[in-house]
Amino acid sequence: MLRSVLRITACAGLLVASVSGSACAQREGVNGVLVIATGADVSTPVPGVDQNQTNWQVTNLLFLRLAELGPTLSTVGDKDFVPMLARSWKRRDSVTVVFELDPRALWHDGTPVTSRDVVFTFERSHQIPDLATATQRIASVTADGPTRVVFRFRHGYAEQLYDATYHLMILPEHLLAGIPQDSIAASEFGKHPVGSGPFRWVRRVPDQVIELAAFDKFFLGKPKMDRIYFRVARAPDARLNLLLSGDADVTELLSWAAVQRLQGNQEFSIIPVTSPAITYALFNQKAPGDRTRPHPILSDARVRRALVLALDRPAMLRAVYGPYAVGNDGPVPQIFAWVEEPGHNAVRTDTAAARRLLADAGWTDHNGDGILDKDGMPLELTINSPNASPQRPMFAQQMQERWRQLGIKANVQLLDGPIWVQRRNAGQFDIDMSNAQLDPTPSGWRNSWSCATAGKPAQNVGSYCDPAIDSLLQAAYTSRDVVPVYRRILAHIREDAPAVFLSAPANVVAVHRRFATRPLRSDMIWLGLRDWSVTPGLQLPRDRARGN
Amino acid sequence: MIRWLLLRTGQALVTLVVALVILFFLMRLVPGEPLAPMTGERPQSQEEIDRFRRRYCLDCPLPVQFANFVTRAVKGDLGTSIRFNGRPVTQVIRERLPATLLLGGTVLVLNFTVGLLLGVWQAVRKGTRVDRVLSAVSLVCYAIPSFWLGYVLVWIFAIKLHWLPSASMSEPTLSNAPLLVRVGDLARHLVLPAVTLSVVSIAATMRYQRNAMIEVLRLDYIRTARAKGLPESAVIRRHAWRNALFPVLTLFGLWLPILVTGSVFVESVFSWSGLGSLATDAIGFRDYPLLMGTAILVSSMIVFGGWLTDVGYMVLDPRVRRR
Amino acid sequence: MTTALVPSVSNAFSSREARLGACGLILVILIAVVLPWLLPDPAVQCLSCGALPPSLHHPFGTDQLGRDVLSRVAGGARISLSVAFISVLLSVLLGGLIGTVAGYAGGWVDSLIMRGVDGALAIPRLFVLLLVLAMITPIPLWLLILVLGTTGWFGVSRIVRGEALRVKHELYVQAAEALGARGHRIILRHLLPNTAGPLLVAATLGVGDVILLEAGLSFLGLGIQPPTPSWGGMIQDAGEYLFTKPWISIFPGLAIVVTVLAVSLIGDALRDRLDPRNA
Repeated sequence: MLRSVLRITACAGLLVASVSGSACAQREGVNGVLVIATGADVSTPVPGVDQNQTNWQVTNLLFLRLAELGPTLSTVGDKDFVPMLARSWKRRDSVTVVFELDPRALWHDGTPVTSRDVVFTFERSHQIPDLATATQRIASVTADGPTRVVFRFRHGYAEQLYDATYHLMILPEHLLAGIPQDSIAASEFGKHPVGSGPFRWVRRVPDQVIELAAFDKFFLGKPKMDRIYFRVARAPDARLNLLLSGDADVTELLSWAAVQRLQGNQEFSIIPVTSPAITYALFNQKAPGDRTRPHPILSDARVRRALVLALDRPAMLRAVYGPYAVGNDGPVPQIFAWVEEPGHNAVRTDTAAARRLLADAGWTDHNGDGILDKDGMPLELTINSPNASPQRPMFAQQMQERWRQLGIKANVQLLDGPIWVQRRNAGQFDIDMSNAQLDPTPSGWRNSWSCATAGKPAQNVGSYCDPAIDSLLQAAYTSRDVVPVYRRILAHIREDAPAVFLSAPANVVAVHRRFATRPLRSDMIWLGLRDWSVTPGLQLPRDRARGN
Repeated sequence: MIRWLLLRTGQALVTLVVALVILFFLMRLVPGEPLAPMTGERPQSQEEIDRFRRRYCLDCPLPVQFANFVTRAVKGDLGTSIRFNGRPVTQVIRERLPATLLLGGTVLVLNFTVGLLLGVWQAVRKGTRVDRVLSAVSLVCYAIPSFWLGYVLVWIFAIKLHWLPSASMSEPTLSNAPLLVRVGDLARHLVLPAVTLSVVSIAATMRYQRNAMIEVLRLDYIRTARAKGLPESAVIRRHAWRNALFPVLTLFGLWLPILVTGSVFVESVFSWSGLGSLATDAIGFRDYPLLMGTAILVSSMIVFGGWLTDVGYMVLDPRVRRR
Repeated sequence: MTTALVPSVSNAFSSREARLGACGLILVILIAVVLPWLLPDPAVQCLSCGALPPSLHHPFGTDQLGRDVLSRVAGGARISLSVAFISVLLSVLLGGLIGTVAGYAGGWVDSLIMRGVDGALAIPRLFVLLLVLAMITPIPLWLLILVLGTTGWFGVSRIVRGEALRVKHELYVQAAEALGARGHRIILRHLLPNTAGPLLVAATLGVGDVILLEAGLSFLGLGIQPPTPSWGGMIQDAGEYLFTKPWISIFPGLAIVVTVLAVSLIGDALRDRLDPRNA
């Protein structure tokens, strides 16, 4: 079962920890200073204000949730969650869950965390469109005494606890009540946030470094990492250089080229972490720029399936990611690989079948110019790709060359960011190289693969619509046993081939060997930082330099 | 003289205003719209998009946007940055200005000392081996992509030798150290980016200066030879010296803007938080207010550079003014 | 002291450097024109091969997608050279002409032109390129060259104008003390050769500039689109492999350096011949 695969991954992480330090390092490990090389600056590390990657990670260190996902990352049921601000929870009935807060929990300014903060956070979430949608199935959140919170849901469903905990990082009501959401970024709180997490905010040098310190009174134990520095370096090679010159200890999102450069280097361990990302080449079902007419070439499912079958995706994947990506044939990132049937490998290459499908659909080379045509129209498509992504232009060129051998003319168009977004949202493309970071649950498929969102900007821009999928998604919304339902949705998607699903890449992380680490969580890499420590005897000068 | 100065300054201001107006409309003509900070790949609701567009008046007719901008700008308010979530543009630029001035200033100084001297030295020794070698070396340095040069220097000095840091502007763990230590730390971090940027600019300056100096020397030589020791040779020599400075002035005026433009490549390789990457990012995000802010700064410097050059010509040789 | 403006071309290549430069340039042009006929298609990929180091079969190795680097360098030569040479030629001609006119004319003509140049310098080249290239995609090569050429002459014109100002007064002195009536014609005859110096420097540096600019443009998604190779684009794409698979980016880089050196050697020789003060 895929749960065992994930357990193996978790154990592998522990194995790394035990090789580099010891599994009990949390007791024996010593204090140290961690320097993370990151790619983007933090602007406002307050939940709900800015969604960039670094903001997200820093926010997760400063603020806590009621409970965290467990090591299997399963979002279903009540049991697999790890207590955080909530010490325990009990289900009263099919639509009510009661949380008991840990009375030891404190804000960084010393005040205790109370149920009023939870209620306040839920009310604030209504003003943040992203969060409002995510928590729409929660009917109410009420306080029942200073440490008890009652969550009532609109109806019974499998992911209630997930909804109650994952989306809401608890905010301090006594500091934020008077500040409207839009003013947080400019406020004092926005510049010096106060949370209840294991680390507290120290300072920020714009575009250079963000400094956090261990919170002495953290109720689950003061972290052994005295200081955490996020050093900002936008260029991936610059981040790698920071590691190689000893100026940084950890970085993530390493490319295949970067990993090759680190091979043989004794100072760093390479840890692939399951990632929520997928890359795919989306077909436009409607005519470019005119969503009222079907696409002249791509609205035919046979053509789409042929385009997919013609490609040797495992080879493409290896050239771009080396061994650090998994092929998928559907919008399945590594984080919910459990949705696939165990042992099932859907990625197929069949060039002969592709040719047959194209011939069946009426495409042959009538005029002998090497390009297939039909009714006088050549089989010519344009692939749009954002230039800022290192991998997608490579995939696009691979697709272009492979299809050329079948008589399909593909033009690769690299585009500047805003122009790419504009064309994508307006449906002005044939094929669009897309990337998505998915939530840990397949219920997020409704954003991009349902009729309800067809044609909507930043959502289902290819206008893919299969009513069967919509009704299945609806069924998953309310049922308890969701896995078979999700699998049927996947089967439909494969049949329709709305995109070439290219890869579910891993997030490759490099960690300096002196750290004894906990397994890295895929969506929140640094969530386990509070349990990190330095192996005794391997301390660097900067680990010893400052006290506090 | 005063009249000329006033006229010239007036022209400079008019040029600046016209350029900025053109820029204002040009940037909105470029296809693509500002990316909301919360985008990326997360789906956005129509309501979110509308709210964002209203906030920055993106759907307002162009003249209205222009009028808004001008009325606020004369009061010193350059608006709020789209990309930085509503932070004032003046604040964002002010944060990055010192770093850019430091890097640009260092490069400028290196350029007009080392670059000039090398160019003159080459000209004096024209045709010799030294001249040829220096020419070849400077051309190779110019032709090499600057990010290559940067990464190779980092590899040698930071990774292999550990003499210098590999990126960034300061060592974060030294934030509480005494001032002298921090200044030294900053200097260490400045070395590689300044060298990378200077190598390319020195190569260019050397070539221009060598060329100009050669012509000046020839003139001087022939004149003196012809004059055969007549007193007018002294006049000519003084004249020649002034001539040699003309191209220096022109180059200086052209290079002056580096104080505020920075260099995108170098800032990327070395994570130097300068205005170069800020401006390029602003273009990439279509962050119009921020882009106008940086444009005002850069355009002013460019126009000022031209003004300085002309004033310099006047000082060197007042006859330049007459036809 | 008067010299014919038309340089004696055969004399220009009498020095050793000039011959070296000419050879280098001819070599590069040959590579651009002849080799693509002889070598395999640069677009052919071999995904399972990956990036192979130089060998007999692939003299320059292969890149990340298994494409032969030599074929791509040869293929890129045509694009990079034509873009660089023609657009720089255009820039230099425009800059030289306008700068000379401004410097010679002086007065309000000079002011108007130079303020225009100042304003144009204040508008980032990137912007104009983005605007034009984004509106017309995919861009035909001639239009890319035209846009690069017409946006690259401003700095050159300032330098040339400075030189023209300086020389003008030299020559006024000369003319005043020597002849008188024929002053204007002498000035004209001497003005252009004297400004040739900085023009040739600008041309030399400009060639390297434009090739590298083209790399930046490829990165931004403007200009040359895949699978057409270009030197700048190859360097950009293989940047992260600089230390693990250096051959992918070093060979196009080397090609750029050789081209720039060759052009500069020829330029130096030309400048020497054009200089009216040479005996």
